Amino acid sequence: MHGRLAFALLSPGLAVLVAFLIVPLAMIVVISVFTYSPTRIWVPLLTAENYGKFFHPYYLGVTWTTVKVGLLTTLACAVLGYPLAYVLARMRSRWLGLCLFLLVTPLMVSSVIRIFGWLVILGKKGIVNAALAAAGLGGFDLLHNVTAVVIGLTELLLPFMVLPLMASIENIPRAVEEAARNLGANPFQLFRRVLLPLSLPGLVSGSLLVYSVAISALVTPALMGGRKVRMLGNLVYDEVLTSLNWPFAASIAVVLLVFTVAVMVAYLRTLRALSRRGGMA
Amino acid sequence: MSDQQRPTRDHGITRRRFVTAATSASAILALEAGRARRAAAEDRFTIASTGGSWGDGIKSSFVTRTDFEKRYKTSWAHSPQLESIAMSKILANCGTPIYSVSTHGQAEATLLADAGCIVPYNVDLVPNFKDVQPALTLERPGTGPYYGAYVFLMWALTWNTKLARKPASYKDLWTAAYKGKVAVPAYGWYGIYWLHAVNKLFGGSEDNVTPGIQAVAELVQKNDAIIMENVDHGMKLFQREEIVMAPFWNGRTFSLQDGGTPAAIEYVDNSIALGAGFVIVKGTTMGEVAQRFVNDTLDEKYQLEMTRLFKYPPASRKAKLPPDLERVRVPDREMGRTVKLDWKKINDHRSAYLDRWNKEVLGKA
Repeated sequence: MHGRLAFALLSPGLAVLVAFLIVPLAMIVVISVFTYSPTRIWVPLLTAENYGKFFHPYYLGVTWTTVKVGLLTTLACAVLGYPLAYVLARMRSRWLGLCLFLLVTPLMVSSVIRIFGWLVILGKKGIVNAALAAAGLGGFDLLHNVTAVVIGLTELLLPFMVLPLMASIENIPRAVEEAARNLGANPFQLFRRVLLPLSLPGLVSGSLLVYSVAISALVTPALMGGRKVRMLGNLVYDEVLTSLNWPFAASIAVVLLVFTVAVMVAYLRTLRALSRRGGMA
Repeated sequence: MSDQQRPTRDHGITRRRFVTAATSASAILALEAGRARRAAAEDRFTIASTGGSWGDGIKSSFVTRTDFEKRYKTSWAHSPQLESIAMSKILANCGTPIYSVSTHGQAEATLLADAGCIVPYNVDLVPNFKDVQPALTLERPGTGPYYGAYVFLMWALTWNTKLARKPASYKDLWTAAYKGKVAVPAYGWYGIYWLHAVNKLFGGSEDNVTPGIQAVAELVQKNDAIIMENVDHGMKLFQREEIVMAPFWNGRTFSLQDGGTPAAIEYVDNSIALGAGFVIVKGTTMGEVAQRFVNDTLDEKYQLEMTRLFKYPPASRKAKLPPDLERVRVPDREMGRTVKLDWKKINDHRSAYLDRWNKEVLGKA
């Protein structure tokens, strides 16, 4: 009876997971080895050409840019997000609600509007360049580079890092910090030897969330990176909607998926190894 | 928490039970989804078009003003999305439509016709078709017309009258004095068509895009041309004077003027005459209403409503522009400067040329 109940409770969730995640993913893998047709999108003739095409320096370069942007965004979110998460986790004032609201505000604003805000700030005639010009430093192209894309993604994804970190830090008793201080730990030692190891689960969750969302970004790299900073999501978009080459788009999606899983597995294994050695947790 | 309180992890679920549950549940879901889709397909007359202000314009010009629901005794729905997305969905659902009609340019309409996913117009139900400018219609031998535009979009050369000299040709974009201050459309936006127009200017053809690719690569790499991602991006670049010249839309140039930007359009050689027109999706259960709806879109009085909103000239030759809109007319002599494009060949090469654009234009930028 107990098993049947669990079986019944599990079925709807599993069905959704299978129908809307596993089956579509399997279809993408299958389409990735089909042959492109301009009018029929694909024909079921098996080919490895879609993957072969990927091994051109241009597409490999886009892959590297994607991974680089993902890692830099994760790092930026971790560096900026940790102090913020700590302050919020320890905050006991009535302003906490407002602070949390401000934190998630970027998620409530349309990507396009948010990015046009950045274009106003960083554009050739933007606020920053106007200030630089007023100081006699001339104008710079602050957009259309990796830094601009990382700035845009960091603003968007910071809540994904801060919220799990905050939950993790809240679980660390204040007494532990006080004990460390009483034993002579300076702020850096307190962070490295106490807070960081104990908040590691939150940092891991946040990093995985930020990385996986960042590498599949589409609108931010298109508008802030221009055509000079192209990511795999932009390639998939063009192949699906412009050239209708769904098989090649599917092969790019599979490569993106493999890279996501590979980086996540490597990250988790490294952390597990560190924790086994007792260095981190 | 004591051991007695701690929940047991043994729920009696074996791996076999797990797989059975997942498979049976997803099978039920798939069956229900299929039934839901059949029920949902075209329970109302469904119009697919770009959303935003364009979609609002279509609603006000061809639904509200035509008194669509009252005249045809049917309700309607708007399915807003990019035209390329609608095209992909029509191809993927060929014969089992999720829309009744969908608006496209000539290249996409040609592709949908070649794929057999749209039906021809019934000229008895679409008598206004004969009034549409021939350059903005498409027909197939044997089956007849299947596309007629409601407005006329001219893709030519827009320039800032304060910061640039009046251009004589697309080749002015390569002028060194404009380095970093010109823009070209992304291939995925209208770059696919502009590439072919420039290619022909430099001696290429639909089957040989090398001259065009080399020219555009040089423009992007040496003259630092910005790639415009969409119309809003292009408008902002002109408004903020980040660019002084770019291939752009006639209607949007007039909108820039109305907004105070010192912009003008020059119908240079190989300007592109593009239409926006409705195709009737194959398998629609509302075929007759779709035909009559298309006829309304080809009626000059409803087209003028779109012209008032977007400053694109009407496609009907019977349309009389009011004095305040006379400036949007494209003179006949300028029509003679438009490039003739083979839409089928453009479609046949769209994937291969995107690959070349990526590697040769963007790859070295």
